[in-house]
Amino acid sequence: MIITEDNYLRKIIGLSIFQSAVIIFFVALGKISTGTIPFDKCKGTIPCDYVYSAALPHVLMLTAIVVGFATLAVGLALLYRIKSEFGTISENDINQ
Amino acid sequence: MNIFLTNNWLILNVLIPLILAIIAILSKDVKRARSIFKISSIISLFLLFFMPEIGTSYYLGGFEAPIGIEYKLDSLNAIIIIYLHIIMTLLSISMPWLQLMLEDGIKESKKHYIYGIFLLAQTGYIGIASTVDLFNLFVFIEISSLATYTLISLGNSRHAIVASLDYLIVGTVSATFILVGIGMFYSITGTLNMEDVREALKEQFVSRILISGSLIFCVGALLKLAIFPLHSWIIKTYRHTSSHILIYTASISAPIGFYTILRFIHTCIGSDIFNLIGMNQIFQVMSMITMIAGAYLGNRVSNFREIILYSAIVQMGYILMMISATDNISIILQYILADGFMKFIFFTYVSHQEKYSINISFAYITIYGILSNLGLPISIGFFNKINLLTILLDNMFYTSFIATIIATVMSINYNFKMINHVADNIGEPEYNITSSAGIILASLFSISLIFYGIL
Repeated sequence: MIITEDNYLRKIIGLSIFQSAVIIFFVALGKISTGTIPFDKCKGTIPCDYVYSAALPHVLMLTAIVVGFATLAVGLALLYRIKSEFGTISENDINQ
Repeated sequence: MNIFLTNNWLILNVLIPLILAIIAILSKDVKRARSIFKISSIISLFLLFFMPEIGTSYYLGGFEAPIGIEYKLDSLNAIIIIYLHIIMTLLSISMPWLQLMLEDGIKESKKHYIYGIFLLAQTGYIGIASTVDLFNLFVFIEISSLATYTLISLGNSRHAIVASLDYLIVGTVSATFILVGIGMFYSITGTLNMEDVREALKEQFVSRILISGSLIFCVGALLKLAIFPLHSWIIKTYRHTSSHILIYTASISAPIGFYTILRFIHTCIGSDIFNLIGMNQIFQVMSMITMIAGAYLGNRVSNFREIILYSAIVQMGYILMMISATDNISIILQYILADGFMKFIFFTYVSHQEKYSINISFAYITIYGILSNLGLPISIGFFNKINLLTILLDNMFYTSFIATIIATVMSINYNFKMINHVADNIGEPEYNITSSAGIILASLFSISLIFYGIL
Protein backbone atom coordinates (compact mmCIF):
# COMPACT_ATOMS: atom_id res chain seq x y z
CA MET A 1 0.00 0.00 0.00
CA ILE A 2 2.83 2.40 0.87
CA ILE A 3 4.58 1.69 -2.41
CA THR A 4 1.77 1.08 -4.86
CA GLU A 5 -0.92 3.59 -3.93
CA ASP A 6 -1.04 6.93 -5.72
CA ASN A 7 -3.16 8.63 -3.07
CA TYR A 8 -1.11 9.99 -0.16
CA LEU A 9 -3.91 9.35 2.33
CA ARG A 10 -3.85 5.65 1.52
CA LYS A 11 -0.07 5.62 1.86
CA ILE A 12 -0.43 6.99 5.39
CA ILE A 13 -3.09 4.40 6.21
CA GLY A 14 -0.68 1.76 4.88
CA LEU A 15 1.93 3.05 7.31
CA SER A 16 -0.51 2.66 10.19
CA ILE A 17 -1.25 -0.92 9.22
CA PHE A 18 2.49 -1.61 8.96
CA GLN A 19 3.03 -0.29 12.47
CA SER A 20 0.09 -2.25 13.89
CA ALA A 21 1.62 -5.45 12.51
CA VAL A 22 4.80 -4.76 14.48
CA ILE A 23 2.76 -4.12 17.61
CA ILE A 24 1.13 -7.55 17.26
CA PHE A 25 4.58 -9.08 16.70
CA PHE A 26 5.82 -7.62 19.99
CA VAL A 27 2.74 -8.65 21.95
CA ALA A 28 3.09 -12.18 20.55
CA LEU A 29 6.67 -12.29 21.91
CA GLY A 30 5.34 -11.89 25.45
CA LYS A 31 2.77 -14.67 25.22
CA ILE A 32 3.42 -17.91 27.12
CA SER A 33 1.20 -20.82 26.07
CA THR A 34 -0.29 -21.46 29.52
CA GLY A 35 0.15 -17.89 30.72
CA THR A 36 -2.66 -15.65 31.92
CA ILE A 37 -2.84 -11.88 32.19
CA PRO A 38 0.05 -10.45 34.23
CA PHE A 39 -2.00 -9.56 37.28
CA ASP A 40 -1.11 -10.79 40.78
CA LYS A 41 -3.78 -13.45 41.36
CA CYS A 42 -1.99 -15.11 44.29
CA LYS A 43 -1.84 -11.85 46.24
CA GLY A 44 1.82 -12.32 47.09
CA THR A 45 1.61 -15.88 48.50
CA ILE A 46 4.42 -18.28 47.56
CA PRO A 47 4.30 -20.78 45.82
CA CYS A 48 1.99 -19.42 43.17
CA ASP A 49 0.23 -21.75 40.72
CA TYR A 50 -0.34 -19.22 37.99
CA VAL A 51 1.97 -18.62 35.00
CA TYR A 52 1.91 -15.09 33.72
CA SER A 53 2.59 -13.75 30.25
CA ALA A 54 5.45 -11.25 30.05
CA ALA A 55 4.19 -7.74 30.70
CA LEU A 56 7.17 -5.82 29.34
CA PRO A 57 6.31 -6.10 25.59
CA HIS A 58 2.84 -4.75 26.35
CA VAL A 59 4.33 -1.78 28.14
CA LEU A 60 6.71 -1.13 25.26
CA MET A 61 3.89 -1.29 22.77
CA LEU A 62 1.89 1.30 24.68
CA THR A 63 4.70 3.71 23.83
CA ALA A 64 4.84 2.48 20.23
CA ILE A 65 1.09 3.01 19.83
CA VAL A 66 1.44 6.59 21.04
CA VAL A 67 4.35 7.15 18.66
CA GLY A 68 2.35 5.68 15.78
CA PHE A 69 -0.58 7.90 16.61
CA ALA A 70 1.66 10.98 16.67
CA THR A 71 3.13 10.02 13.29
CA LEU A 72 -0.36 9.61 11.86
CA ALA A 73 -1.34 13.03 13.21
CA VAL A 74 1.72 14.76 11.72
CA GLY A 75 1.13 12.94 8.43
CA LEU A 76 -2.49 14.04 8.24
CA ALA A 77 -1.55 17.63 9.15
CA LEU A 78 0.99 17.70 6.31
CA LEU A 79 -1.61 16.17 4.01
CA TYR A 80 -4.05 18.94 4.89
CA ARG A 81 -1.41 21.53 3.96
CA ILE A 82 -0.75 19.71 0.68
CA LYS A 83 -4.44 19.66 -0.14
CA SER A 84 -4.75 23.41 0.49
CA GLU A 85 -1.58 24.24 -1.51
CA PHE A 86 -2.00 21.90 -4.48
CA GLY A 87 -5.71 21.12 -4.45
CA THR A 88 -4.98 17.40 -4.79
CA ILE A 89 -3.45 14.57 -2.77
CA SER A 90 -2.48 12.37 -5.70
CA GLU A 91 1.27 11.77 -5.96
CA ASN A 92 1.30 11.80 -9.77
CA ASP A 93 -0.61 15.07 -10.03
CA ILE A 94 1.67 16.78 -7.50
CA ASN A 95 4.92 15.65 -9.12
CA GLN A 96 3.89 16.69 -12.62
CA MET B 1 25.29 21.79 43.44
CA ASN B 2 28.31 20.69 41.44
CA ILE B 3 27.85 17.09 42.49
CA PHE B 4 24.16 17.24 41.68
CA LEU B 5 24.88 18.58 38.18
CA THR B 6 27.62 16.02 37.54
CA ASN B 7 25.53 13.09 38.77
CA ASN B 8 22.50 14.09 36.74
CA TRP B 9 24.37 15.48 33.74
CA LEU B 10 23.15 12.84 31.30
CA ILE B 11 19.48 13.28 32.06
CA LEU B 12 19.67 17.07 32.39
CA ASN B 13 20.99 17.24 28.81
CA VAL B 14 17.77 15.66 27.62
CA LEU B 15 15.37 17.29 30.07
CA ILE B 16 16.43 20.92 29.65
CA PRO B 17 15.63 21.21 25.93
CA LEU B 18 12.44 19.18 26.49
CA ILE B 19 11.11 21.42 29.25
CA LEU B 20 12.22 24.60 27.47
CA ALA B 21 10.51 23.35 24.30
CA ILE B 22 7.22 23.08 26.14
CA ILE B 23 7.72 26.53 27.69
CA ALA B 24 8.57 27.98 24.26
CA ILE B 25 5.42 26.51 22.75
CA LEU B 26 3.27 27.78 25.64
CA SER B 27 4.90 31.22 25.65
CA LYS B 28 2.71 32.44 22.74
CA ASP B 29 5.17 35.17 21.96
CA VAL B 30 7.96 35.00 19.41
CA LYS B 31 10.38 37.23 21.36
CA ARG B 32 10.07 35.10 24.48
CA ALA B 33 10.48 31.94 22.39
CA ARG B 34 13.68 33.33 20.86
CA SER B 35 15.15 34.11 24.24
CA ILE B 36 14.19 30.65 25.51
CA PHE B 37 16.00 29.18 22.51
CA LYS B 38 19.12 31.18 23.44
CA ILE B 39 18.81 30.28 27.12
CA SER B 40 18.70 26.60 26.19
CA SER B 41 22.02 26.74 24.39
CA ILE B 42 23.59 28.83 27.16
CA ILE B 43 22.50 26.29 29.80
CA SER B 44 23.78 23.41 27.67
CA LEU B 45 27.17 25.07 27.31
CA PHE B 46 27.23 25.80 31.04
CA LEU B 47 26.48 22.14 31.73
CA LEU B 48 29.48 21.07 29.65
CA PHE B 49 31.71 22.27 32.53
CA PHE B 50 30.13 19.64 34.77
CA MET B 51 30.62 16.76 32.37
CA PRO B 52 31.19 13.54 34.33
CA GLU B 53 33.98 11.04 33.63
CA ILE B 54 33.81 8.66 30.69
CA GLY B 55 32.03 5.48 31.75
CA THR B 56 29.47 7.11 34.07
CA SER B 57 26.00 5.58 34.02
CA TYR B 58 22.69 7.13 34.94
CA TYR B 59 19.73 4.90 35.79
CA LEU B 60 16.32 6.43 35.26
CA GLY B 61 14.27 6.36 38.44
CA GLY B 62 17.06 4.46 40.21
CA PHE B 63 16.13 1.16 38.53
CA GLU B 64 19.27 -0.76 37.58
CA ALA B 65 20.05 -1.94 34.06
CA PRO B 66 18.02 -5.08 33.25
CA ILE B 67 14.78 -3.51 34.50
CA GLY B 68 15.33 0.20 34.12
CA ILE B 69 16.64 2.40 31.34
CA GLU B 70 20.33 3.23 31.42
CA TYR B 71 22.02 6.33 30.04
CA LYS B 72 25.74 6.09 29.67
CA LEU B 73 28.57 8.42 28.78
CA ASP B 74 31.39 6.63 26.98
CA SER B 75 34.11 7.39 24.47
CA LEU B 76 31.64 6.93 21.62
CA ASN B 77 28.94 9.41 22.56
CA ALA B 78 30.81 12.06 24.60
CA ILE B 79 32.08 13.85 21.50
CA ILE B 80 28.73 13.47 19.73
CA ILE B 81 26.87 15.15 22.62
CA ILE B 82 29.40 18.01 22.62
CA TYR B 83 28.99 18.32 18.84
CA LEU B 84 25.19 18.58 19.20
CA HIS B 85 25.59 21.36 21.77
CA ILE B 86 28.07 23.20 19.55
CA ILE B 87 25.77 23.14 16.52
CA MET B 88 22.87 24.45 18.63
CA THR B 89 25.10 27.22 20.04
CA LEU B 90 26.28 28.19 16.56
CA LEU B 91 22.64 28.46 15.51
CA SER B 92 21.69 30.63 18.44
CA ILE B 93 24.71 32.88 17.88
CA SER B 94 23.67 33.32 14.26
CA MET B 95 20.17 34.29 15.38
CA PRO B 96 20.08 37.89 14.06
CA TRP B 97 20.08 36.83 10.42
CA LEU B 98 18.69 33.39 11.02
CA GLN B 99 15.48 34.54 12.65
CA LEU B 100 14.62 36.81 9.75
CA MET B 101 14.79 33.93 7.32
CA LEU B 102 13.40 31.23 9.59
CA GLU B 103 10.27 33.17 10.37
CA ASP B 104 9.80 34.28 6.78
CA GLY B 105 6.33 33.39 5.50
CA ILE B 106 4.92 32.17 8.81
CA LYS B 107 1.97 33.78 10.54
CA GLU B 108 2.89 36.10 13.41
CA SER B 109 0.79 34.07 15.85
CA LYS B 110 2.62 30.83 15.01
CA LYS B 111 6.25 31.92 14.86
CA HIS B 112 7.10 30.79 18.37
CA TYR B 113 6.33 27.17 17.46
CA ILE B 114 9.51 26.92 15.34
CA TYR B 115 11.75 27.38 18.35
CA GLY B 116 9.79 24.82 20.34
CA ILE B 117 10.16 22.33 17.49
CA PHE B 118 13.89 23.04 17.20
CA LEU B 119 14.30 22.28 20.89
CA LEU B 120 12.23 19.09 20.58
CA ALA B 121 14.46 17.91 17.73
CA GLN B 122 17.47 18.65 19.90
CA THR B 123 15.91 16.63 22.74
CA GLY B 124 15.49 13.66 20.44
CA TYR B 125 19.02 13.84 19.05
CA ILE B 126 20.68 14.18 22.47
CA GLY B 127 18.50 11.32 23.71
CA ILE B 128 19.65 9.09 20.85
CA ALA B 129 23.23 9.91 21.75
CA SER B 130 22.80 9.30 25.49
CA THR B 131 20.81 6.11 25.82
CA VAL B 132 22.05 2.51 25.79
CA ASP B 133 18.56 1.06 25.89
CA LEU B 134 17.34 -0.28 22.55
CA PHE B 135 13.69 0.63 22.91
CA ASN B 136 14.48 4.05 24.33
CA LEU B 137 16.65 4.56 21.24
CA PHE B 138 13.62 3.89 19.03
CA VAL B 139 11.47 6.34 21.01
CA PHE B 140 14.08 9.10 20.71
CA ILE B 141 14.50 8.39 16.98
CA GLU B 142 10.76 8.96 16.61
CA ILE B 143 10.78 12.14 18.72
CA SER B 144 13.58 13.66 16.67
CA SER B 145 12.03 12.49 13.39
CA LEU B 146 8.61 13.97 14.15
CA ALA B 147 10.22 17.32 14.92
CA THR B 148 12.39 17.08 11.80
CA TYR B 149 9.38 16.35 9.54
CA THR B 150 7.83 19.58 10.75
CA LEU B 151 11.03 21.57 10.23
CA ILE B 152 11.56 20.18 6.73
CA SER B 153 8.06 21.21 5.65
CA LEU B 154 9.09 24.86 6.11
CA GLY B 155 10.37 26.55 3.02
CA ASN B 156 9.47 29.01 0.34
CA SER B 157 8.66 26.28 -2.15
CA ARG B 158 5.36 24.48 -1.64
CA HIS B 159 7.13 21.29 -2.72
CA ALA B 160 8.86 21.35 0.67
CA ILE B 161 5.63 19.99 2.20
CA VAL B 162 5.60 17.10 -0.25
CA ALA B 163 9.27 16.47 0.54
CA SER B 164 8.37 16.41 4.21
CA LEU B 165 5.53 13.93 3.67
CA ASP B 166 7.82 11.70 1.61
CA TYR B 167 10.39 11.87 4.39
CA LEU B 168 7.66 11.02 6.90
CA ILE B 169 6.73 7.89 4.99
CA VAL B 170 10.33 6.73 4.53
CA GLY B 171 11.30 7.76 8.07
CA THR B 172 8.43 5.85 9.63
CA VAL B 173 9.18 2.76 7.57
CA SER B 174 12.83 2.93 8.65
CA ALA B 175 11.93 3.45 12.33
CA THR B 176 9.53 0.51 12.16
CA PHE B 177 12.29 -1.63 10.63
CA ILE B 178 14.50 -0.64 13.55
CA LEU B 179 11.68 -1.64 15.90
CA VAL B 180 11.36 -5.07 14.24
CA GLY B 181 15.12 -5.55 14.61
CA ILE B 182 14.90 -4.61 18.28
CA GLY B 183 12.05 -7.10 18.75
CA MET B 184 14.17 -9.88 17.26
CA PHE B 185 17.05 -9.12 19.62
CA TYR B 186 14.64 -8.98 22.54
CA SER B 187 13.24 -12.38 21.58
CA ILE B 188 16.65 -14.13 21.67
CA THR B 189 18.23 -12.31 24.60
CA GLY B 190 15.31 -11.24 26.81
CA THR B 191 16.82 -7.85 27.53
CA LEU B 192 16.77 -4.41 25.94
CA ASN B 193 19.97 -3.06 27.46
CA MET B 194 22.62 -3.09 24.74
CA GLU B 195 25.48 -4.25 26.96
CA ASP B 196 23.37 -7.09 28.35
CA VAL B 197 22.40 -8.04 24.79
CA ARG B 198 26.08 -8.34 23.88
CA GLU B 199 26.82 -10.46 26.96
CA ALA B 200 23.87 -12.74 26.15
CA LEU B 201 24.90 -13.09 22.51
CA LYS B 202 28.41 -14.24 23.49
CA GLU B 203 26.94 -17.39 25.05
CA GLN B 204 24.89 -18.29 21.98
CA PHE B 205 25.55 -19.74 18.58
CA VAL B 206 24.96 -17.48 15.62
CA SER B 207 21.29 -17.92 14.85
CA ARG B 208 19.16 -16.87 11.90
CA ILE B 209 17.21 -14.50 14.15
CA LEU B 210 20.47 -12.75 15.02
CA ILE B 211 21.40 -12.38 11.34
CA SER B 212 17.96 -11.20 10.23
CA GLY B 213 17.64 -8.91 13.25
CA SER B 214 20.95 -7.17 12.50
CA LEU B 215 20.09 -6.94 8.82
CA ILE B 216 16.69 -5.39 9.46
CA PHE B 217 18.07 -2.95 12.04
CA CYS B 218 20.86 -1.86 9.68
CA VAL B 219 18.49 -1.48 6.71
CA GLY B 220 16.31 0.77 8.88
CA ALA B 221 19.27 2.88 9.95
CA LEU B 222 20.69 3.09 6.40
CA LEU B 223 17.28 4.08 5.01
CA LYS B 224 17.29 7.01 7.40
CA LEU B 225 20.83 7.92 6.32
CA ALA B 226 19.98 7.80 2.59
CA ILE B 227 22.69 5.43 1.39
CA PHE B 228 22.59 5.13 -2.41
CA PRO B 229 19.73 2.82 -3.40
CA LEU B 230 17.63 4.22 -0.53
CA HIS B 231 18.35 7.90 -1.19
CA SER B 232 15.25 9.00 -3.11
CA TRP B 233 13.68 11.00 -0.28
CA ILE B 234 16.74 13.14 0.37
CA ILE B 235 16.71 14.57 -3.18
CA LYS B 236 13.40 16.40 -2.72
CA THR B 237 14.36 17.51 0.75
CA TYR B 238 17.65 19.09 -0.30
CA ARG B 239 16.04 20.68 -3.35
CA HIS B 240 13.01 22.35 -1.80
CA THR B 241 13.44 22.82 1.94
CA SER B 242 14.52 26.17 3.30
CA SER B 243 18.33 26.15 3.48
CA HIS B 244 18.30 27.69 6.97
CA ILE B 245 16.54 24.60 8.26
CA LEU B 246 18.99 22.39 6.40
CA ILE B 247 21.90 24.00 8.27
CA TYR B 248 20.58 22.22 11.33
CA THR B 249 19.03 19.04 9.95
CA ALA B 250 21.73 18.14 7.42
CA SER B 251 24.62 18.75 9.77
CA ILE B 252 23.07 16.69 12.58
CA SER B 253 21.04 13.87 11.04
CA ALA B 254 23.95 12.19 9.22
CA PRO B 255 26.31 12.10 12.26
CA ILE B 256 23.48 10.81 14.44
CA GLY B 257 22.55 8.15 11.86
CA PHE B 258 26.14 6.90 11.73
CA TYR B 259 26.32 7.09 15.50
CA THR B 260 23.29 4.78 15.71
CA ILE B 261 25.01 2.24 13.45
CA LEU B 262 28.29 2.50 15.38
CA ARG B 263 26.48 2.11 18.71
CA PHE B 264 24.64 -0.92 17.34
CA ILE B 265 27.82 -2.56 16.05
CA HIS B 266 30.14 -1.81 18.96
CA THR B 267 27.83 -1.89 21.99
CA CYS B 268 24.90 -4.04 20.97
CA ILE B 269 26.20 -7.02 18.96
CA GLY B 270 29.98 -6.56 19.15
CA SER B 271 32.19 -6.05 16.10
CA ASP B 272 33.40 -9.68 16.06
CA ILE B 273 29.85 -11.03 15.62
CA PHE B 274 29.22 -8.26 13.12
CA ASN B 275 32.15 -9.48 11.02
CA LEU B 276 31.29 -13.13 11.62
CA ILE B 277 27.84 -12.87 10.08
CA GLY B 278 29.30 -11.07 7.06
CA MET B 279 27.61 -7.72 7.62
CA ASN B 280 30.89 -5.89 6.98
CA GLN B 281 31.01 -7.30 3.44
CA ILE B 282 27.43 -6.15 2.78
CA PHE B 283 28.37 -2.70 4.10
CA GLN B 284 31.45 -2.58 1.86
CA VAL B 285 29.55 -3.45 -1.28
CA MET B 286 26.87 -0.88 -0.44
CA SER B 287 29.44 1.80 0.29
CA MET B 288 31.28 1.14 -2.98
CA ILE B 289 28.03 1.46 -4.96
CA THR B 290 27.09 4.56 -2.97
CA MET B 291 30.34 6.44 -3.51
CA ILE B 292 30.68 5.70 -7.21
CA ALA B 293 27.00 6.29 -8.04
CA GLY B 294 26.98 9.48 -5.94
CA ALA B 295 30.09 10.83 -7.68
CA TYR B 296 28.65 9.95 -11.10
CA LEU B 297 25.30 11.64 -10.40
CA GLY B 298 27.07 14.61 -8.81
CA ASN B 299 28.83 15.33 -12.09
CA ARG B 300 25.54 15.43 -13.99
CA VAL B 301 23.88 18.21 -11.97
CA SER B 302 24.83 21.89 -11.90
CA ASN B 303 22.67 23.33 -9.12
CA PHE B 304 24.81 24.01 -6.03
CA ARG B 305 22.31 22.44 -3.64
CA GLU B 306 22.11 19.24 -5.67
CA ILE B 307 25.88 19.03 -5.85
CA ILE B 308 25.97 19.23 -2.03
CA LEU B 309 23.36 16.47 -1.94
CA TYR B 310 25.41 14.07 -4.06
CA SER B 311 28.67 14.99 -2.37
CA ALA B 312 26.95 14.19 0.95
CA ILE B 313 26.02 10.79 -0.47
CA VAL B 314 29.64 10.18 -1.56
CA GLN B 315 30.89 11.13 1.91
CA MET B 316 28.38 8.71 3.46
CA GLY B 317 29.87 6.01 1.24
CA TYR B 318 33.38 6.74 2.58
CA ILE B 319 32.17 6.73 6.19
CA LEU B 320 30.27 3.47 5.73
CA MET B 321 33.41 1.95 4.17
CA MET B 322 35.39 3.09 7.20
CA ILE B 323 32.84 1.63 9.63
CA SER B 324 32.95 -1.73 7.86
CA ALA B 325 36.75 -1.85 7.69
CA THR B 326 37.97 -0.82 11.13
CA ASP B 327 37.22 -1.01 14.85
CA ASN B 328 39.06 2.22 15.63
CA ILE B 329 36.20 4.45 16.77
CA SER B 330 38.15 7.68 17.15
CA ILE B 331 39.13 8.03 13.50
CA ILE B 332 35.60 7.15 12.37
CA LEU B 333 34.19 9.82 14.69
CA GLN B 334 36.73 12.32 13.36
CA TYR B 335 35.49 11.67 9.81
CA ILE B 336 31.82 11.87 10.82
CA LEU B 337 32.20 15.16 12.68
CA ALA B 338 34.34 16.72 9.95
CA ASP B 339 31.62 15.78 7.47
CA GLY B 340 28.97 17.35 9.72
CA PHE B 341 30.91 20.61 9.97
CA MET B 342 31.43 20.72 6.20
CA LYS B 343 27.68 20.47 5.70
CA PHE B 344 27.17 23.21 8.26
CA ILE B 345 29.51 25.49 6.32
CA PHE B 346 27.98 24.62 2.92
CA PHE B 347 24.41 25.27 3.99
CA THR B 348 25.38 28.47 5.81
CA TYR B 349 26.92 29.50 2.49
CA VAL B 350 23.79 28.53 0.55
CA SER B 351 21.46 30.38 2.90
CA HIS B 352 23.60 33.53 2.70
CA GLN B 353 24.05 33.35 -1.01
CA GLU B 354 20.29 33.26 -1.60
CA LYS B 355 19.89 36.73 -0.10
CA TYR B 356 23.30 38.41 0.03
CA SER B 357 26.61 38.30 -1.73
CA ILE B 358 29.39 36.55 0.12
CA ASN B 359 32.22 38.37 1.84
CA ILE B 360 35.74 37.31 1.00
CA SER B 361 36.70 35.68 4.31
CA PHE B 362 33.58 33.54 4.31
CA ALA B 363 34.31 32.57 0.72
CA TYR B 364 37.73 31.32 1.83
CA ILE B 365 36.09 29.27 4.58
CA THR B 366 33.65 27.74 2.12
CA ILE B 367 36.48 26.92 -0.28
CA TYR B 368 38.36 25.37 2.62
CA GLY B 369 35.27 23.24 3.25
CA ILE B 370 35.17 22.18 -0.39
CA LEU B 371 38.87 21.25 -0.32
CA SER B 372 38.18 19.19 2.78
CA ASN B 373 35.24 17.60 1.00
CA LEU B 374 37.57 16.57 -1.80
CA GLY B 375 40.37 15.54 0.56
CA LEU B 376 43.19 17.84 -0.48
CA PRO B 377 46.10 18.73 1.85
CA ILE B 378 45.87 21.37 4.62
CA SER B 379 42.32 20.29 5.33
CA ILE B 380 40.86 17.79 7.76
CA GLY B 381 39.43 15.83 4.83
CA PHE B 382 42.98 15.04 3.70
CA PHE B 383 43.84 13.27 6.96
CA ASN B 384 40.53 11.46 6.88
CA LYS B 385 41.12 10.23 3.35
CA ILE B 386 44.66 9.12 4.22
CA ASN B 387 43.29 7.25 7.25
CA LEU B 388 40.66 5.55 5.13
CA LEU B 389 43.11 4.48 2.42
CA THR B 390 45.65 3.20 4.97
CA ILE B 391 42.99 1.14 6.71
CA LEU B 392 41.86 -0.36 3.42
CA LEU B 393 45.45 -1.24 2.43
CA ASP B 394 46.23 -2.68 5.87
CA ASN B 395 43.24 -4.98 5.69
CA MET B 396 43.96 -5.85 2.03
CA PHE B 397 40.58 -4.64 0.74
CA TYR B 398 42.02 -3.83 -2.69
CA THR B 399 38.67 -3.55 -4.51
CA SER B 400 37.42 -1.05 -1.97
CA PHE B 401 40.72 0.83 -2.23
CA ILE B 402 40.37 1.15 -6.00
CA ALA B 403 36.70 2.17 -5.69
CA THR B 404 37.64 4.91 -3.22
CA ILE B 405 40.34 6.24 -5.55
CA ILE B 406 37.93 6.19 -8.52
CA ALA B 407 35.22 8.02 -6.54
CA THR B 408 37.75 10.64 -5.40
CA VAL B 409 38.95 11.26 -8.94
CA MET B 410 35.35 11.50 -10.17
CA SER B 411 34.50 13.99 -7.44
CA ILE B 412 37.21 16.48 -8.54
CA ASN B 413 34.88 17.76 -11.26
CA TYR B 414 31.90 18.64 -9.10
CA ASN B 415 34.04 20.06 -6.31
CA PHE B 416 35.58 22.33 -8.94
CA LYS B 417 32.05 23.40 -9.95
CA MET B 418 31.36 24.26 -6.32
CA ILE B 419 34.51 26.42 -6.08
CA ASN B 420 33.46 28.20 -9.29
CA HIS B 421 30.06 28.89 -7.79
CA VAL B 422 31.60 30.39 -4.67
CA ALA B 423 33.98 32.52 -6.72
CA ASP B 424 31.06 33.88 -8.77
CA ASN B 425 29.21 35.04 -5.68
CA ILE B 426 31.94 37.02 -3.93
CA GLY B 427 30.99 40.64 -3.40
CA GLU B 428 30.64 43.38 -0.83
CA PRO B 429 29.23 42.03 2.44
CA GLU B 430 25.81 43.39 3.31
CA TYR B 431 25.46 42.15 6.86
CA ASN B 432 27.06 43.41 10.03
CA ILE B 433 29.71 41.68 12.10
CA THR B 434 27.44 40.22 14.80
CA SER B 435 25.52 38.23 12.25
CA SER B 436 28.65 36.61 10.89
CA ALA B 437 29.90 35.65 14.35
CA GLY B 438 28.36 32.21 13.97
CA ILE B 439 30.20 31.63 10.73
CA ILE B 440 33.50 32.71 12.26
CA LEU B 441 32.99 30.29 15.14
CA ALA B 442 32.12 27.51 12.71
CA SER B 443 35.33 28.13 10.85
CA LEU B 444 37.31 28.17 14.09
CA PHE B 445 35.91 24.76 14.95
CA SER B 446 36.66 23.35 11.55
CA ILE B 447 40.20 24.71 11.66
CA SER B 448 40.64 23.20 15.11
CA LEU B 449 39.71 19.90 13.49
CA ILE B 450 42.88 20.22 11.39
CA PHE B 451 44.99 20.11 14.53
CA TYR B 452 42.87 17.28 15.85
CA GLY B 453 43.76 15.42 12.65
CA ILE B 454 47.49 16.11 13.01
CA LEU B 455 47.53 15.06 16.64
